Formats: sequence, C-alpha cells, structure tokens
Amino acid sequence: MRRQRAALSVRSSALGALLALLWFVLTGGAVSSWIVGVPTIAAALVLARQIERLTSPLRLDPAGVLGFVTYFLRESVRGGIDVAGRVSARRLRVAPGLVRYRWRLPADGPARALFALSASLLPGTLVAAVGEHEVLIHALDAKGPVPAELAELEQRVAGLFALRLSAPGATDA
Amino acid sequence: MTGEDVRSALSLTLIGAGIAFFLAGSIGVLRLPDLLSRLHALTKADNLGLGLVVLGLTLQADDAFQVVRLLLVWLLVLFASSVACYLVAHSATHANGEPTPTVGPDNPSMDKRDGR
Repeated sequence: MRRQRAALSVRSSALGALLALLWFVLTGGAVSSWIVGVPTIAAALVLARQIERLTSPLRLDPAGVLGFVTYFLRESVRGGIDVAGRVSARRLRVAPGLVRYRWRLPADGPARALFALSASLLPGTLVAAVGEHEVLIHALDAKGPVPAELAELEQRVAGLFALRLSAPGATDA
Repeated sequence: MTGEDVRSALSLTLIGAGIAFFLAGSIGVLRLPDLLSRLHALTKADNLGLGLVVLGLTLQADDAFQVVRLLLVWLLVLFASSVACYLVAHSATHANGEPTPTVGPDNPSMDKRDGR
C-alpha cells in the first residue's frame, strides 16, 4: 500500500514536470502565463490521480516508436486524401457502417487508449465505443478492408509498447 | 532564385495545400449523410490540413524552439480532435442507452440523430 502510494506520487511529480515543460514551450516562457498555467496543471494532476490505476511501468521500444511515427504520418496523409476524394466526387463514394473489432491489445496500460486515439485520425475508421472485449468502429466504407487496417494499427501500437499480440485471424468483423 | 525564395515558395505551397484539406473537410460536413460520417471528414481532413499548415510554418520559423512549439500545437489539436470525436460518436451511438446501428446513404432520412 505504501509502496503503491509512493509510486503514485513519483508518477504525479513526473507528470507535473512534464506538463510544466509543455506549458513553458507553448507559452514561450511568459511569466504572467503561469497565472493560468499553475491552476491548470494542478487540475490536470488531480484528474489524473482520479482516473489512474497503478499499472506496470511503461516500456517503449525505440524502433517501434519510430515505426509508429512513420506509419502515423503516412496514414494521416492517406486518410486526408482519401476523405477529401470521397467527398469531392460527384457522387459521394461512401458506404458507412459499424464494424466490431475484437481487442488483441491488453486491457491494462495505455495501449488501447493510443489505439483508440489514433484510429479516429487514420483513414476510414472512427471509434464509436470502447468495450472490455471489443471496440465499435464506424467505417466510412464498411465494405473496405477495415479489420485488416485495424489489425495493422494494433500491430504498430503493440510494437511501440514492446508488446506481443496473439496471431491475427482471431478477429471478427 | 535564392534559397530563401525557394523556402518561402515551398512554405506557401504547403500552407495552401493545408487550406485545401480544411475546405475538403468542410465540404464533407455539408455533403455526408449522417453524423458519424461527418465526423470522419472533420477528423481526417483537419489532421492533414493542420499538419500541412504547421509544416509550412516551420519553414518560416526563426528558431528550433518555434518548430517544437508548432509541432506541439499540431499534436495537442490532434489529441483534442480525437477525444472530442470519440465523445460525440459515443453519445450518438448510445443515444438510447443501446448502440444504435448507423444508417447508410441509401436511407439518410431515417437518421434523426443529427436533428434533421
């Protein structure tokens, strides 16, 4: 219990330092900006403690991080061009629908959160609901290869956190 | 042309391309049939649009500090956009306490979730 509390306060201070650095970079170090900055960071820390469960320490794989960043940038470009093309065609090229996708990422840790955040920014997919075993995805083209693309994103997120996934194919659309 | 000119030209081209994607996103919001599809247009087109504008602006930055700040702005907007998108999508699909199936373009008149 005491060790948990100690670990939580270490984490809080680290998060506080990170948020302070973010604020410093964003505001260019203007002294008066801390009138807003300090209460905001304090509020963020209180919120973080409320929702945070103590999880295993983060492990990042440098090659995985690089792979994820490259993948994210490439897919962002593809996603933007894809949606721009679909909506500017004379006849809208969309077939929206919901797709269920079974998680392979573990429930603890930030992997699922990163997956959900990225999926909404990447081509054709949008997270509508996150469940224990499944995630509900809205696809702009439900007839497209949505599960395969989600599996690739999941693989990239797993690579970033140095996680191993069960073999693909265990997914059902 | 000097290197400075090339840099300005490239910067303006990137910003122009970014604005074009914002425009495409807005067209998507107007043309797409239902709420969830419209969110697609906003999140994807704005991600790339803002990314290109930021990239164009980094070419005009005075120092590395400004570059970091611009990239940070892009990341924070992406984060906010994705979270906001999830909150809207989640409340739309769970409007009746149950996930409701989305309606395709064949039958958009059935879709009352966006108040039409």
